[in-house]
Amino acid sequence: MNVYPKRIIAVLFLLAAFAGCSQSPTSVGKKIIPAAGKYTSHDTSFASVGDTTFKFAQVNGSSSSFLVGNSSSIDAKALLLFLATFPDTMASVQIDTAKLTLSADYGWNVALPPAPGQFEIKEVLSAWSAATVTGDSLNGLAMVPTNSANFVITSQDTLSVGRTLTAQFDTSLVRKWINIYTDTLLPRFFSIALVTKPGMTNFGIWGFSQFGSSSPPNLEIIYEKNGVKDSVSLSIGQGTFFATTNPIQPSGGIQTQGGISIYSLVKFNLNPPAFDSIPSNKVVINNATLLMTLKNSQRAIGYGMPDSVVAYFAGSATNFDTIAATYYGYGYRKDTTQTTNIVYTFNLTSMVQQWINAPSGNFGAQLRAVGTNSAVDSHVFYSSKDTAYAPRLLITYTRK
Amino acid sequence: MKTVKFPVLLLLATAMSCRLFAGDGSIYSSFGVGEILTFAGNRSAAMGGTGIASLNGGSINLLNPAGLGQLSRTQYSGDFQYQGYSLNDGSGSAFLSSANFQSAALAFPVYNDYGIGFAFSITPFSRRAYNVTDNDITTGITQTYTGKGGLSSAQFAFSFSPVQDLYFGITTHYLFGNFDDVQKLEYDSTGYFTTDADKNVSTHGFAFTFGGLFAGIDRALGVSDEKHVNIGATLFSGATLSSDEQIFQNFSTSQETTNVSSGTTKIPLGLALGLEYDLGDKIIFTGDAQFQQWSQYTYMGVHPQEIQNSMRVGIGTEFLPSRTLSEPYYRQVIYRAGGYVDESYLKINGQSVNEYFVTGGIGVPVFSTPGSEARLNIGLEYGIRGSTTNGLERDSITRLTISLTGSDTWFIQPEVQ
Repeated sequence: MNVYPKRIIAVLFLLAAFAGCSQSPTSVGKKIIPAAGKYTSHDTSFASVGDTTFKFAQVNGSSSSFLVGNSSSIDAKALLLFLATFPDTMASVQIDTAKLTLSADYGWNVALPPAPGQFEIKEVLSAWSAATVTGDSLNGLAMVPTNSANFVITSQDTLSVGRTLTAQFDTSLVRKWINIYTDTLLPRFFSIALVTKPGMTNFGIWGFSQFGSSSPPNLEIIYEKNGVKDSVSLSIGQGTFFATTNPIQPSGGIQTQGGISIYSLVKFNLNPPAFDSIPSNKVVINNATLLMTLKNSQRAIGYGMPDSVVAYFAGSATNFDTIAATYYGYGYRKDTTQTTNIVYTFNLTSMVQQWINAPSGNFGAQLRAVGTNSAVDSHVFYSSKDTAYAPRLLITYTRK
Repeated sequence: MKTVKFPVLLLLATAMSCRLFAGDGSIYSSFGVGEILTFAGNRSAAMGGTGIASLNGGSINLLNPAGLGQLSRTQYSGDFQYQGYSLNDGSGSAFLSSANFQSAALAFPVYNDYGIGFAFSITPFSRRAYNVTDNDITTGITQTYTGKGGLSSAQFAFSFSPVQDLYFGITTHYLFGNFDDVQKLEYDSTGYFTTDADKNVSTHGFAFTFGGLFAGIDRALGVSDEKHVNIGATLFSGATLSSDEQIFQNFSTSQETTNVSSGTTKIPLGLALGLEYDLGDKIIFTGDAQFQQWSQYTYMGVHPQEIQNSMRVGIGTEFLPSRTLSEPYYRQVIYRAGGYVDESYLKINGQSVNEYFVTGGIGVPVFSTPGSEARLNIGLEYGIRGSTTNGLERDSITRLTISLTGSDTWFIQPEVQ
């Protein structure tokens, strides 16, 4: 009898190899899994245990819109800085005209006063940077009047998207800038401010498209040399704004307002000994919805902005403005047909999961206006003390 | 040389290809340290897992270090195992299978006059492999439980014989391994994110097996004029393994380590007693009883209620028609058979999970020279574990073990004329 051990080995091993691969999971054996090892679904809800409304000095930076105007005790001033380059040939030209064009993209509490609303153009002499300037540094900026015409708003229709405002610009200021540019010893700083004309109040806060957008501020200079007219446009630069109010208008609720940096903190205690507490860290939050009820009619939304508030993961017990920006949720109206006690819902699933995973990091949810540095929209919600309408957190979770 | 290389390469390739898969076993392996594997070589497996009293110079006794005392040549072995699980819980059935490298061992005699021998080996101690899904339509949650890993034992054994026929030995086990249990949650509700919790346990530590064996107890007692009966016993010291546990949870937006803890896994004491009866140098009968005090098992200081003491009784036989090379090939083949009953360390829903196995196998010569020989051993085990009553599961288990064992004169100094 011929025996071939090598062949036997090969056949056996290959058979085992083909047979030795596992199948997909099956339900066989599920009854053996201890009940304590299975996740079950639960629902619970929490009322907020506290809230705080606060204000801090915010750097608006090069926000998407720069604001100017006056309404509801808020006054907004815009700063523009042109990064101008003038051809050498302009040193001796005759400046015929100059005009500044702005494109409106936001309006808040806009209403025509008895006379048309007007913005003045001032020259800014002090250096500033959008990356660092705050409302507190506004008083340190030197501004002087110019011979420019005012921007005049005669119709609310100006707010239609893409509509522009144009004002004649001071040609002597243009000449001054050209002279500075050609003198290499002088700092090339070409800045203006837009401010509300004194005496004009409550005609609204206006927002204009920023440098770098598709409709940036544009300073067009028309000049003549040797009998030939030509022009140059300045539309590169940086802009920011200051919106100030003092003090915070008392609302009696949880308040958010953009532009002037009014935020709120809403706090929840999810852990023992809280009623309905979630005691274990082995919990999966499936859904967490924050319900906030608007104090009747206490909101003001500008043109071009959504009716929304954003909630961030508060990052500190003492530095209220600190957030972990990874975890957030937008709050929208739950039912757009409601006219009183309007409820806003926020999806805070990931945020609440973090609160459960690390209870010591639960400093609450920080509420901010959407467009906090490019709009002055405001909301006021019922506070934790308003038993019937206090903020509530509805949580669906699974746990062992 | 080619004869050795060929199966070894096949074995490695096959083992690697199938270790990529998890969940190819029974849900019973989710408890304790998993499915306890008392694999002590192909010979033992084919003989009902017995061998406590085996004093065979032609194989490596991994059950009792005292059994190394009569090694005459360097011994080596490598084992590969295929396992097929037919699972039935009364409401459904499934078939799962796996194939893995099982163990390797090397043993060599040092000083035959005093029965001194050494053995190095690596064997599986336990195995975790399951993959079960539970779709609960009332909660709208589908939970999938997956586990893999297990404990391995890297061991060094030493034997000596202070007086004729009496052998002692000690094995030092280094137990190590990982357990990875994943529980995945999927929800019927739209907007709910799939999440999972992954518990990973890394554990390691030392244990010892002390063994004793007396050859020819029948002659010593005056029952027989020749030595036919060996008696052996082992004591497994148990172990306190250092264990580190981490739980990772995948949430909708992040992965968090939600629990990190360190502690111990306490593997309890075990006792075993065995007998071997040698009939005319052709037939061997063996019988073993093994007890382990799993009621003392703890993980992180807690004893799971599903773990109980285990007791296993096995019998086996081996038949070698002829040791003469000139005999027909089939008469040089070793035939083995056995069986065992195991009241395992699992007690679920108040009911012990028992195992009943029948075993068998052959050992065919691959080559044989005056200085060396090798055999291909094929062992087959078939058994049933558990039942479909009381909410349990019945596993019909088939194990096919293929091993290459052999001996050579490596490390042995030739005698000076």
